[in-house]
Amino acid sequence: MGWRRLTWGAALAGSALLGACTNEQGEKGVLGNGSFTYDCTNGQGDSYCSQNGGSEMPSLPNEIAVGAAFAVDYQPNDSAGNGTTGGATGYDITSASMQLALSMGNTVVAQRAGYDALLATHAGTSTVDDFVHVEFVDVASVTPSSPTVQVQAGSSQAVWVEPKDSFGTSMAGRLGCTWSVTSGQAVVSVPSAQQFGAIQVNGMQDGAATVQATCGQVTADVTVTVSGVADGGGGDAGTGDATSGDSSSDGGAGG
Amino acid sequence: MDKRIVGLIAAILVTSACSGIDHGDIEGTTDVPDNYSSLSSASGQIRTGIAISFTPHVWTRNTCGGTSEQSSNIAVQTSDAQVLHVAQVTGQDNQFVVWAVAPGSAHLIIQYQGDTAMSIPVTVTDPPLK
Repeated sequence: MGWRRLTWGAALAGSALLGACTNEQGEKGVLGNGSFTYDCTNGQGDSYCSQNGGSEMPSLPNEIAVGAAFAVDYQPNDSAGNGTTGGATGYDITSASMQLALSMGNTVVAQRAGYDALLATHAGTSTVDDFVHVEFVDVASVTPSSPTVQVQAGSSQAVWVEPKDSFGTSMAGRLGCTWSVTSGQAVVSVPSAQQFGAIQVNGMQDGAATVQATCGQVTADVTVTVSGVADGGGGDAGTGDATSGDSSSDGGAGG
Repeated sequence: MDKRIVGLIAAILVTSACSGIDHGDIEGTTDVPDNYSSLSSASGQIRTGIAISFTPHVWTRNTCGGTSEQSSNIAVQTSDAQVLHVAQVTGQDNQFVVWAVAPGSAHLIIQYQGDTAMSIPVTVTDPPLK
């Protein structure tokens, strides 16, 4: 009797576990034909991905920053009409309006504030499988992943900024920013072109420098200290949670 | 004139006068998140970026008696693809999605066997600046 109970218990637990594994993940499309998930595969510098514990397929966020890049996957229901998990399989995500967002493949770049429909279309067809609306919100301020960064000469450290709305709420997306070295140009270098998400700050020689991110109308400064003294692991100040670095260098109101 | 010819002409006249498209409408419009956009059989107002799914219906006149609802051979077009886009839902013969591409005015044209059953005027406007 005890074994029978144990067997039933194990079976129920297994079913529950299986249910969890096959449970609908992401957001169901408006038409109910499939589910949309936020793709964090290349999510470094996207605080929404960090907040979701590095999950590659979290649900769609409430707000996505204008000027940010992000990726969305679509998974159609299985033959039984149930939601499935997994990434896109030959589906493109198309923004309803290029005025709201530009899209290519499953990557989208938000262009202006408003609701935008993301339409899932199977590659090579003109029909729409399903769609979902996302909201783009103007960036009011940005917070660096860490206000101070330590890096060894000859090595590099990842740095990014977290976009926030006018209420100070963190928003999803890898924000597109132009980075520059405003002091200590001989100490560090940064990529010159606009970058979405994290960048690598390269330490060149001992000293201190200030790196500035300009993201639309807002800016954020990061103080970088370069030291040639090996500490075994290199600087790690920039690898912390993006929300941990609250800085007084938040930018002003965006347009 | 031969009575048979007269009869045939009369039948053709009656048939052409009593058959054809009676009316069309749409139903099953999906919800929108912006509390502004809407689409009905009479008109539509949609913010740029918003998509709405719907199901069109067309009724044709029977030969001098009643109407019949048609569920296939219905096509939906837009009068201006710079303003409105429309596409069929995968695997659904009679379900469509329309989305607003840019501000302007366009018509959503519903056809049955190539004949226009209805033309819905739609106005597209940009989201308000916050």
